[in-house]
Amino acid sequence: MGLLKLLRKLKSESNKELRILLLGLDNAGKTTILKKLASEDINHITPTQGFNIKSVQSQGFKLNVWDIGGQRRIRPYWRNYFENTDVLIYVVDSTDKKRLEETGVELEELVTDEKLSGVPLLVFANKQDLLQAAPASDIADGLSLHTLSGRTYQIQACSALKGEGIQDGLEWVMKTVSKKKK
Amino acid sequence: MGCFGSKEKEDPEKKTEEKKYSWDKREKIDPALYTVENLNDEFVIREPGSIDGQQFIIQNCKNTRIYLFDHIASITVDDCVDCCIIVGPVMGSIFIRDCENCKFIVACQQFRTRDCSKLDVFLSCATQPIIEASAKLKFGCYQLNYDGLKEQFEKSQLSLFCNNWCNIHDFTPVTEKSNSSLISEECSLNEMFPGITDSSTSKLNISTNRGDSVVLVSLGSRPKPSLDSCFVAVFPSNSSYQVARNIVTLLKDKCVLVQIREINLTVGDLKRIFPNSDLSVHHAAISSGSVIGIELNGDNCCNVCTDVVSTLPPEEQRSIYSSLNKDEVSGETERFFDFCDIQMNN
Repeated sequence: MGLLKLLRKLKSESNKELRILLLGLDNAGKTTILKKLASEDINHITPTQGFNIKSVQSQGFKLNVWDIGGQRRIRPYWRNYFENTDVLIYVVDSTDKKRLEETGVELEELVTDEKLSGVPLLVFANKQDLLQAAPASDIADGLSLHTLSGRTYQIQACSALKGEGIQDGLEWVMKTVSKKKK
Repeated sequence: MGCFGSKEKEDPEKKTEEKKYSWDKREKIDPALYTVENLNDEFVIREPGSIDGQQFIIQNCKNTRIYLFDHIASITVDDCVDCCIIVGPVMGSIFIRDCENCKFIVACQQFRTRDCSKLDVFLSCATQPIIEASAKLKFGCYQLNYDGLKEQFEKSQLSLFCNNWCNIHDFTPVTEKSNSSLISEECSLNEMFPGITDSSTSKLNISTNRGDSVVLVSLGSRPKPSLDSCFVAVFPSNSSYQVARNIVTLLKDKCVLVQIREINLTVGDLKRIFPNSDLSVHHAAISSGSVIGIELNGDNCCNVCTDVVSTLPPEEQRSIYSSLNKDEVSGETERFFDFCDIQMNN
């Protein structure tokens, strides 16, 4: 009996795999967040030309994190990665006031896409360590997050460079997903 | 699974809001001190120590010279026309947008442009530079020195030996013509950047001479002058930076520097890159730092290199490997620099 229970538990744990999509404009810091999640060196990161994927363990879950390049020219390819997404993480450069509207438009496209309907959304207001960073509340206003309906979301201030706020965001992801999967 | 359920009762939003991060606790700094904007026909100089690793913004300037002689966290340059801009070492990225007819000297980890035209850029970039929706860009190797610049590179965690200035990735290539080309080697930086060495900056000892540049000026993708090349590796020691510089400087009339890179290697890597050479004497050293690889080109390059190396002090000679055999050069060069590229994109 005890053994059977253990085996069942192991089996269910091996199934705990999540597909996480990391999107945002170019220069937002997506790859730095990805590498930080995987505890890798972040001193030399090349601008992403295609995509990066890493598997990270967290609280018994295997997170498959997809980081897709964000240049304007390659954004139309984002939708090729939408299928079966469990969580969408959207990264914003909080210092880039010139493109706050542009990043809002891109996010709007994502949240109105049928393939991503109901997918929980975590917004990282990144680069908070820099002096020109807008607070996360301003980013939330700029993105009109309050108008999102029928979707669980959270905005989290962070600095991928300093490693602050990333774990807090990830904890929200784990909580939200475990609630959903129950 | 039970533990997940029990946590549900907490209010996660509330908890996150209460948490204090370093940016909530830091002193308030006036962003205007780190912004240059809305200038017309002006000349702005920022001396070492005046920016000290903060983020910087340049926007909406016309016909203005902006010379920032300090290290910077990251920088955006937006909506500038007819400007000359010098940017000290940038730890993160420089992002240039909607600029036209501007000249830059910059060292950075990442170089990015979008919606620009007619830029001349003297660049040192630790990763592959990228351009998008930009045309008529010209690139040349970074060429600059002033008092304290080397230390500013160190503070920005930028290597003096990792420069991908000519290896541009274009997100929006056009079929007729490349969007980027090379700046003529005959260009004079003193003419392109007026006032760079005049009295207002004389106390910084600014030099735009090739031979003085803190980053060694490399040939990059320009045509090689000779069929003969040579590969030299400098193994880690307290003086490896100086040894590598000395070799290139001593050879400057006979060989050109094609490319130079530094990278950490394991014994396994070393054996794969140099399968036909016994480098076991260097095995102990490679765990203590990075190996500097140098590709040189010029007639009779291997012999010329060997002669120059033999004039160095014996302790320096012991940290140097140079390809003695012409047949080995191309393989070793290719494997070393390919390995560097793969590591860079990892």
